[in-house]
Amino acid sequence: MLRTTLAAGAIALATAGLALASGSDKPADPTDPISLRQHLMANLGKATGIGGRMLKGEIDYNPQAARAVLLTMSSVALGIGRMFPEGSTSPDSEARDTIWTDRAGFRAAVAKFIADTEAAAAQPMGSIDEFRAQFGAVTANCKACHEAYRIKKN
Amino acid sequence: MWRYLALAALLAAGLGWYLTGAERIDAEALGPHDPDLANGERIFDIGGCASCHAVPGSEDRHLLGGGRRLATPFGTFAVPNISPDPVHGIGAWSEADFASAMLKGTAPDGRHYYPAFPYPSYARMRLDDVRDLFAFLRTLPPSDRPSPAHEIGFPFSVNRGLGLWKLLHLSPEPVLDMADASERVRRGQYLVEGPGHCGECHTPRDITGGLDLSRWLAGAPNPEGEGRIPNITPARLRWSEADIAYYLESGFTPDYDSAGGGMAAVIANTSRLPAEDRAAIAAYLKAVPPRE
Ligand code: HEC
Ligand code: HEC
Ligand code: HEC
Repeated sequence: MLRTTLAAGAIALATAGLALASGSDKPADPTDPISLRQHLMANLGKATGIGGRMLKGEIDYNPQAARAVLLTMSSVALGIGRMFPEGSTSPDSEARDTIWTDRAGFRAAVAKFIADTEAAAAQPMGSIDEFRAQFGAVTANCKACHEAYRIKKN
Repeated sequence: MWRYLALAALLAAGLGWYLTGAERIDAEALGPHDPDLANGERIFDIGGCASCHAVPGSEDRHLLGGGRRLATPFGTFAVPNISPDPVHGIGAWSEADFASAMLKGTAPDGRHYYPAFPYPSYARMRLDDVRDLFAFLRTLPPSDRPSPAHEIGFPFSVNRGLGLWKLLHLSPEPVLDMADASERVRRGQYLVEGPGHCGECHTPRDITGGLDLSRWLAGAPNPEGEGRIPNITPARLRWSEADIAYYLESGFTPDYDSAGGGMAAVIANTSRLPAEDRAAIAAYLKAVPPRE
């Protein structure tokens, strides 16, 4: 009995350790730009997931929900540029040094993300095919920015 | 380790020069072949040729004028022009020249290629696929960009030394023994271990710069910075087959994080494959031995 309890405890601890491995699983710290941007990006992933699951047919298409997905992306785009001050690196952050060595390129990536998400959110969203086109255009930004300015650590 | 010592001893014994000569594919050995261009394009896509050989900054993944620079611990390699231009590209090459480059890492003039060109993986490709690929490359637009020179220092600039390296690391044999696996898994094995060259990034290297096959796909330091290229054996990659296939199609992880780094270019290639090939790759990744 004691043994099973100990084992369960160890597993729980190990799982907690795993969870802590991602910065966005800790509570957001409003004074820490790394913590803020990781939470913002994690939410962006969840919003993108709602869009992706609608497109895959896993959940029903809803034009209002589709617009909310694009508006969430746009909100993240509007805020993200300020969240990478010089020196905001840590062992846990996956921001790549190119953000600071190629400042102009990173700014341009943020500006494009803002422009594309604002334009997409303003388009008609009546049919799933209209949404598919907008979703494709905005998510190309995820790939482009992560390709140049983000590096996986785990 | 003993293998290296033994080979070093052989070298010292003066056999080295003989051992390090370059192997080629004979034109006579090729025989007739009716090329399948659609298959050639499929091999081009899984082979990721565009990721390295397409002109940097060009939107056209079929304009293979080269020019990309690859920084490695051994020096900086400049990717050559492989467009059908007869002067600056490979337009004047024979099929045997091309097969020798892909399967043996040997240039038409007998030089050994550096493994920054992932021929140690391509060496596991089927000859017919290489021939279809060659036929497909011939249909692409020529580029007259001259191939720039590599920047590599001694001792790696001694090309002959690569002959020894090839003896250690070049083999057409599959990495894993999967003779009894399903046809789908074996198709995935071929795509991953051969043209897909996934191991070139996802497998750690030994001191000689060759892949440490005992830790096949177990993840490796990322040459682009302090990050790591992830372990994609079942020890760490716990995604379902459908999740893996969707990632290779869309770039989205099950959490809708979006693939970045060197993997973004890989997905630009795998997204073009028929769905059955992505499913085969996913089935293989679930079947490889877990490694930490
Ligand atoms: C302008 C650049 C940029 C764009 C555009 C961008 N990201 Fe990111 N993203 C980053 C960077 C940089 C990080 C790493 C942040 C860190 O760890 O400090 C990141 C991290 C993430 C993470 C991990 C968050 C965590 O848990 O730590 C997710 C999920 C993510 N992004 C999803 C997305 C999605 C989905 C999109 C597109 C809809 C997107 N990102 C667009 C730069 C970008
Ligand atoms: C990871 C980057 C990379 C990828 C992917 C790649 N190559 Fe290359 N390739 C190189 C480099 C670097 C060289 C130069 C090697 C040398 O000079 O020793 C090269 C050389 C070559 C050559 C010899 C060219 C010459 O002028 O001698 C051929 C042919 C070639 N590649 C074809 C291909 C094909 C076909 C593919 C796709 C199936 C491919 N390569 C994928 C990096 C790459
Ligand atoms: C040029 C190097 C490179 C090659 C070649 C490559 N990968 Fe990757 N792969 C990466 C990097 C870097 C990542 C991390 C992606 C990121 O930063 O979002 C990755 C991530 C992955 C992941 C997600 C793992 C995770 O836990 O997030 C899978 C699955 C994967 N690769 C499969 C493959 C397959 C299959 C192939 C061959 C078709 C392949 N890779 C070829 C560099 C490479």
